[in-house]
Amino acid sequence: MTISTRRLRRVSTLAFALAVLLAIGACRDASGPNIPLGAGNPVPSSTTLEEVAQHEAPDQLSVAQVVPGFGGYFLDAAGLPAVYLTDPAQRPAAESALAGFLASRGFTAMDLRVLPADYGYTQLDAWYRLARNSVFSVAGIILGDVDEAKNRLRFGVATATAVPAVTSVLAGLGVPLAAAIVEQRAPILPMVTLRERVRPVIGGLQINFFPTLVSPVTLLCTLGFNAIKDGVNSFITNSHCSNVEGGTETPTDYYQNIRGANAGNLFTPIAANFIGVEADDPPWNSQLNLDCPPPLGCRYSDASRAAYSAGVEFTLGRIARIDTITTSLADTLHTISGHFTIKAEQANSVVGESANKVGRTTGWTVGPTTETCVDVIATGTTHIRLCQTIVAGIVAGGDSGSNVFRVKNLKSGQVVLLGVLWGGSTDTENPEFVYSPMSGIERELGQLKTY
Amino acid sequence: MTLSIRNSGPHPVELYLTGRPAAFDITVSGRDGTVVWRRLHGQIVPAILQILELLPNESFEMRDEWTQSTNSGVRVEPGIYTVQGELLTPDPNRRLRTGVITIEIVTPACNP
Repeated sequence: MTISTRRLRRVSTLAFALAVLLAIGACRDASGPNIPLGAGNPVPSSTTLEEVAQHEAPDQLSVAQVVPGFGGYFLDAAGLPAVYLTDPAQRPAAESALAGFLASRGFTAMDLRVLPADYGYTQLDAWYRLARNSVFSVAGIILGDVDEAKNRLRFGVATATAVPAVTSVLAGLGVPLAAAIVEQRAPILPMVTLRERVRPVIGGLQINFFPTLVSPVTLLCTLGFNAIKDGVNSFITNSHCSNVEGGTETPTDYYQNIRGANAGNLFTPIAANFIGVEADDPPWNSQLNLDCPPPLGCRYSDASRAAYSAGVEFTLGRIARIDTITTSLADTLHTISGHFTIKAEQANSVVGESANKVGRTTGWTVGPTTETCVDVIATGTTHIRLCQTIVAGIVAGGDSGSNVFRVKNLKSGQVVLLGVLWGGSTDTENPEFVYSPMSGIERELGQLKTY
Repeated sequence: MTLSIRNSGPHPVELYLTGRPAAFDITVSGRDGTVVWRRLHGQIVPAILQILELLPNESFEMRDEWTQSTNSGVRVEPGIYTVQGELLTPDPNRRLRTGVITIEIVTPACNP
């Protein structure tokens, strides 16, 4: 007896459907908005003692409205409630006004510690409002505050030379210098991730584009690196990170970080996020390439060039530097801590050499180069990437277009540009990413000035 | 094999999917749990991320065939196998996997 054919017999139904039920929001990508700095102290929100007493954290000005000589309240270093009063006899008023605050934290009126105040909060607030505009015109100013825990105005500056500049401004306005603390402090850096809006534009940031104006799909990639081609300010990303993979007949509009407001409709364009248009994306074909087996299409790089829109700030030779190297796909928050500086290009790859990349999804990852000049056909496509490089490094969807580089000097952040990442394996135990080396990129896009 | 995904909730949902077209995996395992075939075995997937909005009750499907062979091209033996599908997402903590179904490969009756 010969078995000539086999057939698949299902246990329950002949053709089976595998259904995935979605939980609402279960697969959203996490990214937080920037929180703008406040414009200054708020106006009092409560005006009667009864109203103030109901609040668990009444604003300082409201307390000042109902407690004569009030100079500020806070929790001290031991976590105990304290209040500044210019007149200690006003303690009962302070206890009443802060009743909600005390009760909400398990304290009684007896727990409230009264500290002698040199200034009333209302006076400090008036001086602050008087001085704010002038002080914030001083070079090096970082922050200004009515410090309720010190019963003083407080100004933070970045440089030693800014200290006398601020005090001079205060003196000129008639603000007693004894009422102000002017101190040098470390600058406050915005905690910005690769997925947020960043200007000037540098390599490693998230970019967004749409295949069609009415498409239900929006696509995310990474801006690899900036470049100047024949005097045109440009950036490099993947050919497959464009409306059509190969060709510029339907040029792609790129946005950084997203085309629309994150909290609203993704499909409503934000003009300020528009950064450029696809300018060069050679076709994938076999007719002109003897290395390409027909009917497949081939290229030596999965790279395209987009021209920056006029007025978009970018910095040539810079790649976002992340605070830590990603070691797990579970790491999703990639805070920019500085930048790498491209100091050279390397045309081809070397097995064993460490290759780094910075991309919007997995951030900064690194691994050894395992294979060079590999011809690779990506799943779901008929396109062969010729002479590509494979690295044992972490990658995930959204990293397409990432810069790939070799670190020349970690401390100074000097790097050698190796190419542009375009794909990866699906084996989470042994992750790999694949990139197009600079030789292939410049073979097809022409000579680029990248630093 | 058809892998379908449907928004069964009352609100639109955004799906973050890897690849273009969206990459999906199908894993066939033997009775002892040994994987005999993976659709994406050894494949390189473009690392693009697409966000697809699915309206309530909206669905889409992906299809592929399994030739009843292992990844090395050897025909599998008759027997019981389990099959599971997965849509690739960038967050390993939020994988979109189907339930596991069981199939049986049988030897057909032969004509004398």
